[in-house]
Amino acid sequence: MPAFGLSSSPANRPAAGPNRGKQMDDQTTAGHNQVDALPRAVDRPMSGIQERAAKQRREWHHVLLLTPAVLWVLFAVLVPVAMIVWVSFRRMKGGLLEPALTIENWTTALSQGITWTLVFRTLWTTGVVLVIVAALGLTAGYFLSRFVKKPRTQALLLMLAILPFWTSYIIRIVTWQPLLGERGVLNWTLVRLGIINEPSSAFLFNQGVMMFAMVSLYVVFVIGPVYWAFGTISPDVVAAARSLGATPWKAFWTVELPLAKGGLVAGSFFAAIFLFGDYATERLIGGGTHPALAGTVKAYAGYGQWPAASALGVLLIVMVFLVLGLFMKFHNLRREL
Amino acid sequence: MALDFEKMAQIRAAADRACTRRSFLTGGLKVAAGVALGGVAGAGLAGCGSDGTATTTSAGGSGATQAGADATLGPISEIGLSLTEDPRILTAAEEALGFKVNGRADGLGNQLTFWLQNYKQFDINQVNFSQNGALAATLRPIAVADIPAWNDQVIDLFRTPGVPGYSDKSGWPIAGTYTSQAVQSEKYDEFIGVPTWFGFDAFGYVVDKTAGDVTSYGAIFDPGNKGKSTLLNEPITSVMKIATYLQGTNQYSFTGALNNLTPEDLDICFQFLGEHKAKGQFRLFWSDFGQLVGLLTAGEIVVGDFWASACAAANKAGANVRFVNDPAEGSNGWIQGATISAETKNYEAATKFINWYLESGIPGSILGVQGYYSPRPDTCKPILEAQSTTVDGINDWDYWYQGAKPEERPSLDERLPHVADWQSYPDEYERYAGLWTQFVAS
Amino acid sequence: MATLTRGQHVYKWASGTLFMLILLVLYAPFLIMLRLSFGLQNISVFPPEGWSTISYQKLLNPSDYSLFTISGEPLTNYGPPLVLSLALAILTAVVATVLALMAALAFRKRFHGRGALFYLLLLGLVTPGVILGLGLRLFTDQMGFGAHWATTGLLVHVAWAMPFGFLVFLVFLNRFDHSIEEAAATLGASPWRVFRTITLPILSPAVLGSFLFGFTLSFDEVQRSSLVMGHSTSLPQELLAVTTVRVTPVVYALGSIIALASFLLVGVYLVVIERQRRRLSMRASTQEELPDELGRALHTTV
Repeated sequence: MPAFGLSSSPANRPAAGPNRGKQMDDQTTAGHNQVDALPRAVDRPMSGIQERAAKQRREWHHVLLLTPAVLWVLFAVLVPVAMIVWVSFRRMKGGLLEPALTIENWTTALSQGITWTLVFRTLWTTGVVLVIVAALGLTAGYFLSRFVKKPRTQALLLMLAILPFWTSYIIRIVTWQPLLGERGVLNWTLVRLGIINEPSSAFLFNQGVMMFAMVSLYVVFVIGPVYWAFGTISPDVVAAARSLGATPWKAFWTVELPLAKGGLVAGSFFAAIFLFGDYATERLIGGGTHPALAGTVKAYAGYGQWPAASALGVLLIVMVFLVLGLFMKFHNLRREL
Repeated sequence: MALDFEKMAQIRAAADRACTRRSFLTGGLKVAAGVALGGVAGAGLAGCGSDGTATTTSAGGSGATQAGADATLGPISEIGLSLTEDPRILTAAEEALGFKVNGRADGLGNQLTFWLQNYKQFDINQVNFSQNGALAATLRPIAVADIPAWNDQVIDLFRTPGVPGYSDKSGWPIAGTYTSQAVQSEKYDEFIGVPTWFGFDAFGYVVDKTAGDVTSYGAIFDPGNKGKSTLLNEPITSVMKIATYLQGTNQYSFTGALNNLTPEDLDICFQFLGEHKAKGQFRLFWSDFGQLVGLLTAGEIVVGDFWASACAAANKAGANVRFVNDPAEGSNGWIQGATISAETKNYEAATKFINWYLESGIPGSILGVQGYYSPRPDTCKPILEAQSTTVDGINDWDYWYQGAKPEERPSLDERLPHVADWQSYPDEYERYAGLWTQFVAS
Repeated sequence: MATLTRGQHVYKWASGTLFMLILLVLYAPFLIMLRLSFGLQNISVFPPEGWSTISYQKLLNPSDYSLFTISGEPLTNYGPPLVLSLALAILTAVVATVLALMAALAFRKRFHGRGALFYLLLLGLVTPGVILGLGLRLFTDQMGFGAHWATTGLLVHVAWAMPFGFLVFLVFLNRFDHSIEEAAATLGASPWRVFRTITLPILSPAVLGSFLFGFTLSFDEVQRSSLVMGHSTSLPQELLAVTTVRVTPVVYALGSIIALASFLLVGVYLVVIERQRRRLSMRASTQEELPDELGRALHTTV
């Protein structure tokens, strides 16, 4: 690891995960080095008492700059999460929390088979959707980066893919029925084309369609980063691989994909965050018959059963952190910045 | 034809003038004011269709203390469904009462938790009375004397135990309307909440597409409708329907009332439900009115615990859905009404608003043409009689209340004896919610 | 790449088709929504009967009750929720952008606990929204505070939007040439002056990007908002409440308007960024780098 800046002693280095430094073949390491290179401006060597005083003042700059954001996270995120943990040890009566603490919610939640069904279902749905999203995003991003020649067309197509993210989620959700329902566009088209004889109910309210909807909602998270990652790979690298006898296929798998891994992981990371929290798609498109963990937390909260909702909610948070930790282990996302 | 509010108000005012010189629109308020100022108007009004006892009582209520000083009251805030927070209702109330009524509509599944977390900032919760048990600690009882409109024009159902529609086993709807002391003392002088509209829940089916016996809830579980039936994704109403079906068809005799099952009773219901879900009986669990109407018009489902008003809306949009008003096993009654926050600083204004809700007939008739009943049908009658929005040549009063087309809509009197029980908050609610959530997630 | 092999040709067409299919699936809902918003019927089936602007008239004249001829149709005035959502979205965007920029500037320096703080600042992004709204309201209620859109509402919305802005700024800060700043500092400019005259102008696309994220994330937020808005109702909440009663073409009309407005907003953003890029590329020598950075800032975070 090349040293940058004078203050980059090991103790001051950002904690960057166990994989750091292992993957020197990874081109994104260059990006990471840039991160390390940044503080030069601030930390350049000085001498003399005045400069030391100035430096001491600057020592506090970052604290001042960080305080508002950290306080905000403290009140708006940490405290609510702590509250949820606390409520998971309480009981409710007549709409109010009783003061006594109990572990009953936890023994109930952890001993019930259904809890583990929910955990498994959440992981399964998220996993399957992520794999599809990653595969589609990779294909689409690669197409955009390699086969679309004009930068303007590239930018336009990418913008088209990203635009729907900026419009109302609820409104996109209410159009599924007229799209896929028995009297929807898809059935109407298929019947007109003579592909099916009568409208089918197979396009709505089942797990397959729900996953399809999720893929369409979240694939955009992968296309962008993947496109960008491919864009940073120098054509010379690919050309070199080809000149050494690699087929395009082999060059893709051994050279391009490993170099673009960061984009793929970063995109999937964001998709995963949204997938874990999304309960509306299951309810409206899946039919509400197979809710995952977030949907069940929402249901309990809606019935005024906050302790039960909280216990499952804590479980959900733990699960999200574990899975995102796994992502980090796979690829240190901070390199992508 | 659209509901014409201006016209409604005129008709209403005309009907009132025939009775007293005062407009009913400001009825409760002016009664209180009049009585306090010398009893002239109160006496005049007392002669109008009632024996005067209730209105006389109102003079002793808190309504009299702030007589006429409308401007010092309110504003008040309430939460409810889009149906109750209808701008026509809120504007009419403001005009009649002289203070602002802020209404916040919420989705069906969010209301309970929203109220529990925000009741300190609101005065009134327009709520299904089956939730009241969950909200007990956040509600303030209401003296019947503070709601002068709650007089002997209120239908017997809400005033007298034992009449058609009353459930001996659960004591509802009386037990759900008045506080337990008021019921035990048989004085009925204190509300948990004031009923403002009510109805009967059963099931519906798509004509010619549904297998099995369509006079029984059994159609929902008929193998011929596998993959095409549905239930509301909510424990209280759905479990009660299953219990009504199992008891009505003598498959099981429950220890508890149908609206208040014991743990053993619940296990029976959920065993039954679980078996049918495993077989793939249910296409989906629906969660709100709009979604249901969409499902029916789009032909996604054929049978389920549809609401009557949703069936009507779907039919207007071209579907052919029939609501079974009186299934063989009986219907499930429900009450919607106004409850007051334990933390309210506007108790007086809140009670005046609730009083207006019943007395003016305006909310009652707006809700009436959507199939819901008012506890004071007499105040809705003049408005409904003067319009015809459903079947040409039949006025809305005859259609919705009197059973002018009995095959579509029997009269209120005919429907009351068919109530199996009323939706209420069960003692074992936590178990209901837990088992239901597990069932849905299974 | 000079010439494509046959296999690459096949792949090119296959993946191109896939890309177009993805676009089709993404845009089909909008096109259908747009068509349904001009329909006559009160139902969501396809194809709708006839063409009419009645839903748009209802949207614009919510107090003209004579327009609402469908029995049981919700008479919602979307005006106040729209104004509230716009106000909250702008406020959220401003606050989140300022906080994110400050935090990102601090991150240019290496300090103890930098790694841990990085994850801490992203916590609002990672924690499931269902839990946050409930937890925050439970806490503020215990503290004796009521909910209000400008307090608890803003708290929740900024916590959601800030991490996105933070990431956008980090991407930009990690990529521009710091020697300009150093040069200015060496020439005696105060840190504030360096920031104002050099750092901020260079960062302006990121500021806009962060603002755009804050605005849209807040404008669309439901999961975290359901309990924390007090007396007010945001536009998505109003829509949810209305769809509880009936999905009418009015909802589609509103949806179409919001979608078009969003497209316009993003379009304007892109034009502004493009102009900025041209101006910068005339001055700086990093022309080739910039489009990538823009793309990256948008896409790492989208």
